[in-house]
Amino acid sequence: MVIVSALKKYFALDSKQKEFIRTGQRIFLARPEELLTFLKPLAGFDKECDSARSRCGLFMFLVILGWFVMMIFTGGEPSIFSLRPATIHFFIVAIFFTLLFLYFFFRKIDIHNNLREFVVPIINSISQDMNKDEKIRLKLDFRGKCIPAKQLKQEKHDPGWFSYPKETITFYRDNWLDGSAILHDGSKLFFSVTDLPRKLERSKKNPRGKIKSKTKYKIKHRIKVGLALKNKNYSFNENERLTAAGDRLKHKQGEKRNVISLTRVLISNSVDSVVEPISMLALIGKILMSARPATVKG
Amino acid sequence: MAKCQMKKGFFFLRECENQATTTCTVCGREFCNEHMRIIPGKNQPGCLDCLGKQMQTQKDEKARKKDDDYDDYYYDSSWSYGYRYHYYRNNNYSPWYDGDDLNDSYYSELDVRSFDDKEIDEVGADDSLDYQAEANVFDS
Ligand SMILES: [Zn+2]
Ligand SMILES: [Zn+2]
Repeated sequence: MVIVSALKKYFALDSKQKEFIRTGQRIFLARPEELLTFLKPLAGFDKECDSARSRCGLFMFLVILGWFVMMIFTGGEPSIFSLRPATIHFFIVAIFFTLLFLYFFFRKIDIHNNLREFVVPIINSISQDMNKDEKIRLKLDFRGKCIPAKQLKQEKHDPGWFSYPKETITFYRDNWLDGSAILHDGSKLFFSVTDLPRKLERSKKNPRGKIKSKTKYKIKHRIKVGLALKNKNYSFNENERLTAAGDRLKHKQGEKRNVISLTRVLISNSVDSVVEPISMLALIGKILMSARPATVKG
Repeated sequence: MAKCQMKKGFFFLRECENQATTTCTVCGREFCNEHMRIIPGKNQPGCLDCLGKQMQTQKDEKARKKDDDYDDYYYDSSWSYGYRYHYYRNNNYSPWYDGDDLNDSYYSELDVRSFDDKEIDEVGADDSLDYQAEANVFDS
């Protein structure tokens, strides 16, 4: 049963993993293997946590439905195994509140799916190209996208008392992933994702005089990748393929390294939407496809 | 047993230096422990390439059951070993290859790029000129 197994997985986490769930942030400087040892159980737990939460919701619905059906069929005087109606009602209420408690508990310890569906696959892929003893620097911030600490500015449009529509637009900046690593060929890789949510809260009066409130989100996901390629190994050519998908290119030619960065912006309309690993891996691939072996002057 | 036959890596492929210990029951190649897993539901050894590819097709077909046996491997290296083939194909990516075994038939479908191109420049002046010309096209 997924509820039990999610709880088991949660209690099997070590204190640092639980601390990460609680605080939502952590800075790592660790070998890929250590990093994945830390993240994998969190990913496995989070997946079960999501299904356990929806299962709790389903069971709560079934308990209420079952109670109604029972009340109808027994004329309000249920009796099972010769238990008194009061005892039966007590059990039903107890089961319902246990499920409700578990539902909120699973919601509290939930991690944004970006951890298991983006961070873990990215670290997994990058680590394949690293030497075992190299360390990844990684900064994760999963405290939430629209928390006061991440607020940039707020615009209010209020036409006055009892006048509608009223609008509040709040802008946030959430740099939830930032990292760097030295790859097998000596190149230095930088990567980050910054979400820029715009939250629109609007209340208006409908023709019947009722006030309706709505909250809408528009989120820009800014995915940035940079590679510092050694001139000794590569020559780098700017070409139209790099900016083909609307990606922004920055290129700085240094004495020892070429530093190339690509930025891609994706848009979604939910704080729960997940960035797909391919959006970052594609950028790394494009930069590496534009690199050629350096010409050795023989 | 001989050396592990895995070409490891994602953007850069290279040889695994470990000694092979087990034969993959799917492709028949020999691998070290690091590149071997137990195939879910079969209790037989399978290499990361084969397991990863199976995971990718399972995902594509949406044939994944709720309590999928592959779940344990989803956050493991097996995922990226399977995903890399999908990635090379869909993104026209040619992985760099840093090694001396380019004739391995298992990887022949991959369009690998080799750092050995450096030597061509050193040996033949003509090749070097071609290379420069190509580079100039992109510059313009
Ligand atoms: Zn195999
Ligand atoms: Zn190996």
